[in-house]
Parts: sequence; C-alpha cells; structure tokens
Amino acid sequence: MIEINQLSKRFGSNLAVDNLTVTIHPGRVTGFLGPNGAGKSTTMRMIVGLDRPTSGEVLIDNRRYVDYPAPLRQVGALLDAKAMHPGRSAYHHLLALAVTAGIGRERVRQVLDLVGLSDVADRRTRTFSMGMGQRLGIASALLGDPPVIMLDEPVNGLDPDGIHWIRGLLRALAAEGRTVFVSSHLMSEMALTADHLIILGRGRLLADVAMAEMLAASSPSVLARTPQADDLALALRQEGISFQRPEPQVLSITEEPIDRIAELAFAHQIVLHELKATHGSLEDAYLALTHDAIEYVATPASRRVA
Amino acid sequence: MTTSTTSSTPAPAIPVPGDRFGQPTPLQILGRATRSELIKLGTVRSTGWLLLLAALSIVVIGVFNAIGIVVQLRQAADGQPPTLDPAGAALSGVGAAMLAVAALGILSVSADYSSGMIKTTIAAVPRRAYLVLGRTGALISFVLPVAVGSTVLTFVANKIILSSAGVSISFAGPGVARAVVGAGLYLTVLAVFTAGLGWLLRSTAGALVTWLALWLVPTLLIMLLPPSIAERVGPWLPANAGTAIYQLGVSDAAAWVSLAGFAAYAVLLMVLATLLLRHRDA
Repeated sequence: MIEINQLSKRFGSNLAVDNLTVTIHPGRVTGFLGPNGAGKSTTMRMIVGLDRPTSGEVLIDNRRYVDYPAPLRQVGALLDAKAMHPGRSAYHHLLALAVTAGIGRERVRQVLDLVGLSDVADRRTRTFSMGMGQRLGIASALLGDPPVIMLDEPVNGLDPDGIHWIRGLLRALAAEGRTVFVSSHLMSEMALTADHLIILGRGRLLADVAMAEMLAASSPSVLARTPQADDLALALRQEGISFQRPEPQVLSITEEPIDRIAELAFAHQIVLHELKATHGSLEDAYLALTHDAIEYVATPASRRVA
Repeated sequence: MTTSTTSSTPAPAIPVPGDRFGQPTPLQILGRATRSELIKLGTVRSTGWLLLLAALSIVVIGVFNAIGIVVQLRQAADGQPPTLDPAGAALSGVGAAMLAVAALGILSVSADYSSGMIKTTIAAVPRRAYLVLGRTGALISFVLPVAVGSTVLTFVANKIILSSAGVSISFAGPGVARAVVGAGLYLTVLAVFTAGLGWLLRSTAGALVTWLALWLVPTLLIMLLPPSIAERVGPWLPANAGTAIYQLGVSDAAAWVSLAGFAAYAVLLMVLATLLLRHRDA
C-alpha cells in the first residue's frame, strides 16, 4: 500500500504536485493517468525518495522509502528505461542492484529469464532497443520480489507482443495481492489493464475511481452501419429514439439496448452491415476530466515534463 | 527476435529467499552498498583503461628516467655524481598518472549522471551517506593497489637498472619508503578528491574543468600575495597539499601532515556531496 499524504512539490514558480492525498491499495492494478506535465512522474519520484517533497510525505506500508534498509525488497520501481550505464551488461546492471538487497545471482538469472532477456544478458545495454531497455527496467523492478511495484509508462517502446505480455504480468502481480501502480498518459492503455484509476491534472487529484465506475459513468451506445441509414433514421424518430449520425451510413444511438435496435431494423426490413454496442466514451470522459490540465500544459511555464 | 518472451502467460511468482540479515545493521547496509559499487566500477571499461593508463604512466616514465640516468652516467666518462634523488626517477611519472586517476575519480560519479543511472542507484540505496561512502570505498579499492603497486614496482625496477651503473638506491634510505608508497597514497586521495568534484558538479566536463582550475588558478593568484604569506599558504593550495609525501627533502612528519591536509580536503568534499545529495533532487 502506498499512502500519499498532502504531498506537494514546487519547482521554482511551478507547483508540479499540489497537495495530493491518495492511497494506492494492494491487490489491484491502479492506473495513474494524466496529461503530460500533470505531475505523475514527479509523484512517483517522490515515492522512492528521488525528489524531496516540498511538503507532505509518502508512506509505503507505514514506512518512508528511505527507512527501508533493503528498499528493493519493498518497492520495485521502473522510472526511466534509460537509467542505466550504457557500457555495462544487463547481467551486471542487475547484479549491482541485487547485492544492495542481499539478493543472489540466481535471482538475477531468473528475472532476466522472466522478461525474456537471457540471451542478451551479457551484451552491453548500449546496444539495447528502447523495448529491451524497458524489459531490463521491469526486470530490475521485480528483482526483490517486492509487494509494491511501480512502473512509469512501462509500455513505452514495447512491441505489441511486449505490451500484451506486460498487461498479463501486471494483472498477475496484482492477483498475487501486490500493490501495482502504473502510470500512462493513454486512457486506452489503462482501460485494458487497470482496475482502479487515479487521475492527475495540474498536480492535483482529479479522480480516484474504480474502473467499473468510470465505465458506468461513460454512456454506452449502439453503432449501426447500414446502406438504408435514412430508413433507420426515420424508424428511430417514429419511436422517439434520439441518435447521432457521425457518417452518412452510420447512426450512433445512446440509451437504448442493442436488442431493441436490431428488432426495429428487422421490423422495418432494414439491412444492417454492422451493429455493435460500444463502451461509449471512456476516453471522452477522461478527456473531459483533464481538459483544463491539458490547456495548462500548452503554456510554456512548465519546467519539468512528467 | 531474442527479446520476445518465452511465454505470454506470465509467471512472476518466483520466490526470493528472505533477507539473511533480517533487519540489516548499518554496517551491513554499507557493506552491501560497497559491494554494489565495486561491481559497478568493475564492469565498465573506462575503469580498466584508466587504471592501466595510470600504471603505465608511472612505470614507463619512471623506467625511462632510470635508463636516462644510466646513459648519462656512462657518458660522463668516470661516473662521478651519485648525488641523485633516490626516489625522484621512480616517481617522475606520478604527474602524468594524476590525469588518468583524476579522470577515473570524476567518471566514477559523473558517468552515473550522464547516463541517468543515478536514478536507479539512488532508488536502490536511498540513504545518501551509504551511497557516497560505498562508492568511495569501491574507488579506493581499485585505485590504491594499482597506484601503490605501480610506484613500488617502478622503484624496484629502477633499483635494478641503476645498480647496473653502480648506483645503489634502497627503500631503507631516509624517507624513501615513505615517498614511494606515499606517491600511491597521494594518487588514491586524488581519486577521492576528484570523485567529490564529480558529486558536486554532476558532469564530467564541469568537474574536470573545476579540477584543473583548482590546481592552476590559486597557484597563479598566490604570486600576488606578499612572499611571507605566500610561503605559509602555498603548501596548502589544492595543487600542493599532499605532494610533500613523495618528496625526500622534507621530514617524514611534515610529509604525513601534508598528505593528511589533502585527505582532509577530500573528506570535506565528500561531506559536502552527501549533504547536497540529501537536499537535491536526483
């Protein structure tokens, strides 16, 4: 569990994190969302003691990060896939980290295997692609088998296979009862992985909601594609059903079950090329929530990009 | 593709043996931090190359000087003047070795900053004092044996070369052992001093320029002072502090005090670095 209490961080005149109080619970994947510059990375850096809070504090299972004698056993963090010496091999990079927590060579081999880097373990990281660096960063986060795992934009640079893999990994880690805290600036990515969302804008907490709640809040709709769009539109109007027509052959109907639309089309002998229920606008809900924050980022004042 | 995962079904539940120290003591934490830093320093190429360069500077320049003396003595028909500094030739490469050692000291810290590794480093050892102490210990472990080994080796080589011309030098001579071993100690303190600059300035170029400026500028400015003051301050300028340890014209006591002064500068930089690391964002 990560408890963030009235946390603030000021860089010059820019308040990167503004009195943030939120708790990240174990046993689920918590997505950390917000536009670029919202303060996500700064918050994560303060969790592991890289940045000094201007005020407030962060407790990890009731202790500050710096108070853990072997912190890698408590928190596994990936903050920057490039945070490694380019001239050192992946194996030695991990070994140097492992010994700080009294972790042996065997475990280093295991995590290399786990992230699929065993074959390149002795290559210097200079030769690694962004995705390979990301995997090495994830390996270092898993080294100490920690109860808390925190990853900053872990899908950056990963290929589709890697993205699929990391989703499964995060869900499995959460299912084991660990605290999994993952940042992204993409709602669509979080929608597939997270159980819970913490949304930040301008350094402030915008939302702390369950994914299910977020989904419920976003109105579902039915999308109908038909060459007889005019006929369907007429039928819908007769029934008093409201709709939108984003394309000439596409109608978008909200607040009606998909069965009703199908039956209506059948009754009017309208040919449907496509009929699907969509989860509506999770992305829209997120964008509406963060709209103000995005505008803020467009001003040149922000010194540090999250 | 070599990076593709072995399976798409993740199996992260690999048990890790518990901490065998339970709650590690401060000394155990420091021990681990030092081991980690030893691995880090030992697994980048620049460490090996710079240590080799330092050793070669000392050995090659020292041996060439000895050969030069032998040649001169042979040419001076009846080898008259045996009034040479018994350690001088052996230590003539120390100045050149300083460059390599200073580069190593600076890079041992600045490479962490230029690569971004510092974030990973601090996340693993968030207590800054352990980090600075551990890295200093690792740096000393690498530099000390190479530096002292090179000066002693060079002295032994010179002894053999000079004896062929009938000149005898010995560790037993007044201050000789102190100067030969002390030169290695001096280089070790220099490594720590420059690592301190690395912590403070966080950039290779910045630390290197600062080191050169610290060595050159005060030496020039002191000429503007009245000679009576300059005489007293002179030995304690960064460029001069500690150098008496490898000179034979000074008493042993004065030589050790001089090295202690230089070491005090290095310790001061390390304390400053630790305080700054605590207050500064990584």
